[in-house]
Amino acid sequence: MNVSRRPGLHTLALRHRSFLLGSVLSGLVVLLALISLVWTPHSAYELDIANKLKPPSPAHWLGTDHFGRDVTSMIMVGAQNSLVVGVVAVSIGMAVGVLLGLWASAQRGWAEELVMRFSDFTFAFPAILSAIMITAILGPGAVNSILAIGIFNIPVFARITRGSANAIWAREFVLAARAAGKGRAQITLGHVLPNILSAIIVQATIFFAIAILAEAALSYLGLGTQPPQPSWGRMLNEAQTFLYLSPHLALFPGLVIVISVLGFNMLGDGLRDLLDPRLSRTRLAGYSSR
Amino acid sequence: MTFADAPVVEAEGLTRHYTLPRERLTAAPQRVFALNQVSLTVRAGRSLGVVGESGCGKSTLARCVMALEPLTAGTLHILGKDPHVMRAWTLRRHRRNFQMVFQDPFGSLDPRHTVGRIVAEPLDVAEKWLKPDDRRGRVREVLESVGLKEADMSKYPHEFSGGQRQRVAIARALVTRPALIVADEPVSALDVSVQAQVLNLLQDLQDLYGVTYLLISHDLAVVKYVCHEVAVMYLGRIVEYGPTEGIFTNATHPYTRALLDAVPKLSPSRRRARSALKGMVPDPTETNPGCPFADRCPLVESQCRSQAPELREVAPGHVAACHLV
Amino acid sequence: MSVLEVDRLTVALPMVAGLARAVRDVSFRLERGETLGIVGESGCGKSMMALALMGLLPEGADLRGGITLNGCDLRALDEKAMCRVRGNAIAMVFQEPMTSLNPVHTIGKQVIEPLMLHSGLGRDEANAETLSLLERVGLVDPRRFYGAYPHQLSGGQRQRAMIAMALSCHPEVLIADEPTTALDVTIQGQILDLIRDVVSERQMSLILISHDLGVIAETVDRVFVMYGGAVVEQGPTPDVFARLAHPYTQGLFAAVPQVGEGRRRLRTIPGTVPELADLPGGCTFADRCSLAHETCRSQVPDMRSVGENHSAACLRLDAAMASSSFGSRR
Repeated sequence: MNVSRRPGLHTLALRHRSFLLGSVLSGLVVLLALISLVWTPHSAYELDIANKLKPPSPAHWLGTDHFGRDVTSMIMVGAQNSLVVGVVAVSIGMAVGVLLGLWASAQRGWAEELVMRFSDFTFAFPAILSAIMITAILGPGAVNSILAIGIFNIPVFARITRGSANAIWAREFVLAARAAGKGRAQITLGHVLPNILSAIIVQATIFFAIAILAEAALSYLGLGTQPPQPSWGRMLNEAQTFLYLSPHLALFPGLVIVISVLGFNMLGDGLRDLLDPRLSRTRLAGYSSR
Repeated sequence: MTFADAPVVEAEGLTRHYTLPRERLTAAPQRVFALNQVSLTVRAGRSLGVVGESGCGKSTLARCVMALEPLTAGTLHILGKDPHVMRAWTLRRHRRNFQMVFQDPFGSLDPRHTVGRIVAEPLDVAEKWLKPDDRRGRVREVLESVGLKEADMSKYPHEFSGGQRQRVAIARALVTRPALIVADEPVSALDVSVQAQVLNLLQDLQDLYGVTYLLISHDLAVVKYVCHEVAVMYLGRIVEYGPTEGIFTNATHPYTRALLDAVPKLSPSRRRARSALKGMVPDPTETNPGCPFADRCPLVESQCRSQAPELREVAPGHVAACHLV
Repeated sequence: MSVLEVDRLTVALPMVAGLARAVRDVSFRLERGETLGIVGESGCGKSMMALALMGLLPEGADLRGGITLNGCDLRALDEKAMCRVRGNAIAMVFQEPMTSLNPVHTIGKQVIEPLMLHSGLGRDEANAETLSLLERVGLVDPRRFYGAYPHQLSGGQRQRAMIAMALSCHPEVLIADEPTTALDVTIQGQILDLIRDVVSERQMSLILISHDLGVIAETVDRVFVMYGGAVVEQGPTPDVFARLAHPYTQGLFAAVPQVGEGRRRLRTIPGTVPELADLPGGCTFADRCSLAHETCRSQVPDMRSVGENHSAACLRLDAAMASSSFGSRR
């Protein structure tokens, strides 16, 4: 086998198209949200009925909605909303899911059964339906939609973690750690977690995109972020009425949703390739060993 | 237990059965007899080689001796204590006395840890009170004894070749100054020229530290170079057991003889007549009353199929399980 | 006329670490019925050479030199024509039969398909031929094995099935790459005997690739020792084993533990096998050689004769042959 000198991660990253495009797109969304914290072209909340339903113009780059609010500003502030929902929901899902997955994998037996049957149970319901159910019970709102999305990320992360962790537990270096006298907790923290971290990060990126989409869907249905807080999903909902009159109202929020989902998905795919340790050995190395 | 001649390992009737998952809901689960009534003793500073083909139970034996797998029956004593009946925490501390070297130098080292951390791992449990400096000193000392440098401590496993990785694995096994090292096929993944370096290293370390080896290998020649005694296993049983010289010059069991004969010799000979063993190792799920080797044995007689042979002494300290000796 | 002629074959592979010169300037002729062994450690280029002969090099590999099979230049063939040559004229047996057999097809199907593809036999004839092939390779009760899937077979039986597949179209050259490395020692003998028998029965030529000197010594007429992508010693097997010429061959020979010897220290070759992407200049073995001089590090040694048909690439052959520390241990 080869003891190859791997080019630096950044060199590989620059060569990876999907990773590059993904980071540019998702970076754009993050940038929008950050700028909106200090500056927006107009206020995203101020009503200006006189200038309602204006098409794009130098004054209002992306036009105005039926209350005369500036669409550019609403999209920028909406980006904050989407990112916060994504970060918090994925964090909830990841924190609980990874813990459950690691525990199931370390304990095996009944613990594993329990976690896996629980995941199966939640997988049996379509995620969005369940999120609607939870917000219907808890009441609509941004916090509750975050919770709903977060809760349905738990089994996803639990399952991925347990799968990758089981593969690590079967490796010989774990046996070596057991032979050295290490306990389950020490092995989980010292060997299993570091070796599955990249897989979890990749999943987190991809589920970030899904969480943004889910938030848009909940807001579209009126169960997510409540007015006057701008949100992409509700912008789409409100644009529906004026689809023939002012198509730009639906076009631009739709476009940013597509861009951010695409961006984070490609970023995740890129990360998966870049963090894969197999890439560090060369693809051809296998041929030169006996 | 510091008598020079005290046994480091004493195993009595080690047995390990696995239960396979049921093929059908109504079928009785099948059992695999991986280890059957294996008894052996290794004295301090000596080495015992266990040889056999794949599926003969030698790796199961290694893991049972390491208490990494439970026993179905039998008793095992390492330095007079039975690791299989200890409480988990006591066992984890007792592990400093017996360490293991694995076959695959690529799989047995965590790719995300530095060599320094890998080698120090057993100290985390056995001597966790060590100060960082002392710890580092211990790691350096043991790395030097296997022919690596202090500078290697900060490197990662993928920066080393197979032979060097196996040195790292040996260093990890040595760091707690154990009485026993169980080595499961320590050189079979290495190139010939590197294999010789590692075998010599194992011998040097034994001379230096008086460590005891239980060496598992499929390669008779490897065992011959390192071991004082040899046990030949077939289908979970020991079929021949004795001093290395006795086994190699006076192999008694037909299976041992076939194994010795099957090893390709380094002298070119057109058409060397092999005492070709017919067939292959049978499935260890089956149980029959006779000798496990009967189906492949060139000398088989009727009693071999009806009655399992016991280990009998054929020379001082040399036993074999065959009706025909 | 030789069946296979290889002229200054050179293979380079682009790797992350740089260009790996996996095979350098290897030339030989293989006569009908002749058996050739290639021995060397991992990364010596022996497997890459087999893939080059089969036209199965990984994408991006740079192949130079000539490969002529029965007077036909294989390098001039396109992929479609090469497909006809593979299986028909050259066949290969790989190290790990489990990964080379398709797990979702029965053994019979995998033997009969190349047979029908290349020979143009009808279904019934091909069926009969397949059964007789399976029987020939020692799969007694061929009808049972015909319908069996690879996972139902043991390692040795799978390797027998692989050999049946390789034989199905009566190839003239059989390449066996570490055919017994994954097998138990008692099975290894059976498979080597089988290969030797079918090769002589069908007057095929054999290229046997192995890291195991013993396997090579017992099976082939002529042996090539490869190191760092090049052949460092070659000759008739008895001559090479009787008079080891190259210091690497001597070292390799001395490093092999042998059953017939007592508990003692093994002679070793210091250092490790060099990276193909980072070969030293001059003699590739110089860094590990106890006889190396300054000239060895700067000058690439040519093949020099040390006996009839027996040659070695070493600048210090006289010293190497004279050194009594190694030499034969028959």
